[in-house]
Amino acid sequence: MDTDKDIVVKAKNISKKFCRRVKHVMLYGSQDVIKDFFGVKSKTSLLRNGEFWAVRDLSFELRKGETLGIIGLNGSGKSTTLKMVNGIFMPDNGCIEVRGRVGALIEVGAGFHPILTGRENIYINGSILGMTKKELDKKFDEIVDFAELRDFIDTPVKFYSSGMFIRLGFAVAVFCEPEILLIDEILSVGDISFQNKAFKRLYEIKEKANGIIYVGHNMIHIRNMCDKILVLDKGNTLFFGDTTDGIKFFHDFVGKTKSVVISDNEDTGKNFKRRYFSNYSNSEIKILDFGLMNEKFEVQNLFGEHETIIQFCELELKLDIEELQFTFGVSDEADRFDCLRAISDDDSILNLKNLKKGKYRILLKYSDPHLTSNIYYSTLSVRNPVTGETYERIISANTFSVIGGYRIRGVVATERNWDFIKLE
Amino acid sequence: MIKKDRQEKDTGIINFYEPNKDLKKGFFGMWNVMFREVGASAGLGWRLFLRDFSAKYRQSSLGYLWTLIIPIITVLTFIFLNKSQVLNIGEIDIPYPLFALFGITIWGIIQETVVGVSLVLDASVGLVRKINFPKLSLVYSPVLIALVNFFIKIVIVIILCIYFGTVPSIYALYFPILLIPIFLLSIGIGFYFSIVGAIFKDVANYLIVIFQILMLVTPVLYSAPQKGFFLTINRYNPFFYLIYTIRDVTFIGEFNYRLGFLISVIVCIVIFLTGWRFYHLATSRIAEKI
Repeated sequence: MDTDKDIVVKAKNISKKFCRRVKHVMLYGSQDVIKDFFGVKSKTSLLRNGEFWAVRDLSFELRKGETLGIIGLNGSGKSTTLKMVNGIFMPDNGCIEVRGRVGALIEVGAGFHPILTGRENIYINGSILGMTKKELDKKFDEIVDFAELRDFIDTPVKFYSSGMFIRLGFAVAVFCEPEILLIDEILSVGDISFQNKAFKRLYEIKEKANGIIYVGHNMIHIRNMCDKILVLDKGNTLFFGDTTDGIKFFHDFVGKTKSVVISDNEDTGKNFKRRYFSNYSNSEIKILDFGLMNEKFEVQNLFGEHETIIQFCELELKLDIEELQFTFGVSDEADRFDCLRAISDDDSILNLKNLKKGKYRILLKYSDPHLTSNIYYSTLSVRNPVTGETYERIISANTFSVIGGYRIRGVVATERNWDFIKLE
Repeated sequence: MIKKDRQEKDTGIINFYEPNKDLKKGFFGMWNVMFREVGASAGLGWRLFLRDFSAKYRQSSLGYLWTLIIPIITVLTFIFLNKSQVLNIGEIDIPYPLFALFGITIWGIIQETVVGVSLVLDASVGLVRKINFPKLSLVYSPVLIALVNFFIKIVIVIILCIYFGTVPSIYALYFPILLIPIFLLSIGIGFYFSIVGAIFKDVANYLIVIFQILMLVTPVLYSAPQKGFFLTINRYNPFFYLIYTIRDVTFIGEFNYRLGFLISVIVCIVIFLTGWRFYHLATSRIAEKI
């Protein structure tokens, strides 16, 4: 039975506004502090000139023992929401009730002074995060061991490498035992072994904490850790509910509405939607579109197990090129592991030599790719094998999902048969 | 999700955030919160003081000697100017070096506290935007550092007293009490400037100019002016009454300008309390504006 005491964080129609320009920041900042001083209550629910809503009418509840994930694109208001729960920003509308001591894994190494040693900085950072000297004395050795800095704890922090710095800051933060823990995209710091340690520690904290709110981009972490999920876009709530449904919703939403047009050429096939994020570009070739389709050549980003996946690319050659080579890949989103990879030369089927200037489309079809249910992203590189020049290298920022009937482990999905016999 | 047996923790802390939250508590309710914050922020305040104090002179060659060098040079400059009749410092009853050093010591409290508190919020912007901690704890460090510098200089004053054979009056025992309004005034002014300085970044420049002028106008390094323009200004200058009284009471045992001093003490208390209220209210509002 749910009683009110079970709810550790309750946000009711909260909104937050910010200023765009510095002159408004200074003007409204001065007005607000002067009004407050004279006891004049501000009408915060109205937007003044130059202000905009970063978060609008948001409501959610966190119950004891739950972990809530908040996801959304950049600028959707996730960190702002977290700061309101943390008590850093006051909501301009609505109210938030928070039961319990709040700790935040947000800023690694807050308050660190570079000239002081690691030892001294542990005490400083710990105090800022709310730990008493007694607590810090008790946990000091654990913190140092977690950070793996026993040999350097008395060296000034300015001499630490960035990895050491992050490990120290993170170690202090994870040993603070708040009742409600707020995490803001911090879990991707450090190398793999440190991340594993951090996660293990986080699960230990999850056992003890009354509630966790986790803001992140990594869907694997979200799916593993969160019981409920909140999807935001431009400050508005799009979805609040079950994690798996929420992630699916989010992928759909991103696929449908976040298409970025990178070419001004409107003339592409009517079956294709434009969806593309690049990180390398050359002016001889222009990528017009890059994505995934199903067997019916419909653009899709959610596939069933064993469903055919087609990777496609449309491009325009600005001049004649003697030969092209395409490398398509599919990688696991969390581990960046190459699950599928194919180079157009391998199968010697296509004729990619002596291409004239113009527009082209290339398709790569995987019939029953045997991918496990997981979240992936696609990659493409286009190069000239004669000159060795790379024209394009794209990592699609859009992930796609393969969903299965039940949880499948590993990278490859295949039929399984079990047997258990007693030996004589 | 399998719900295991959880180690139930309950500190009973409940926070409620809404617009105008502080004002809704009412005038007296807010003072209650502010006074409780003094205790809540003391631990962190001390820790921040240790941080700033340790870091200040680490890796420097002269370390804490710097606290002495600047005032000593200022005093020597005035001694020289006085001896060469360039400046006329007026009638004083104690040896001038002692007079000057004492004046600089008291002025040092004021200047270091005001400037220190004024700049501390701006210096901690990163922390303020990311972590929720009692902002009052930021103020402990500059005040305690000013206090440490003060003690170092007082030791030199005592040495000079012994050297010149100047015996302070019996009323010198009131000296610590007379320091209190000076500290309160300085912290209060610092509170106001710290909020201004977080919003307008050129406050540090204003402070430099103001203090230069103020130190020359107030009889810190020279005796109280008896007539003219300076007398008129100092009639309404609380710093004048505070410094003059503490110097006179400590060395001569006289308490002149009683009314002026009393009014100055009231001004100190008012500025401290209003400044504190201003700081408390503003720090919860401006995290997004600094």
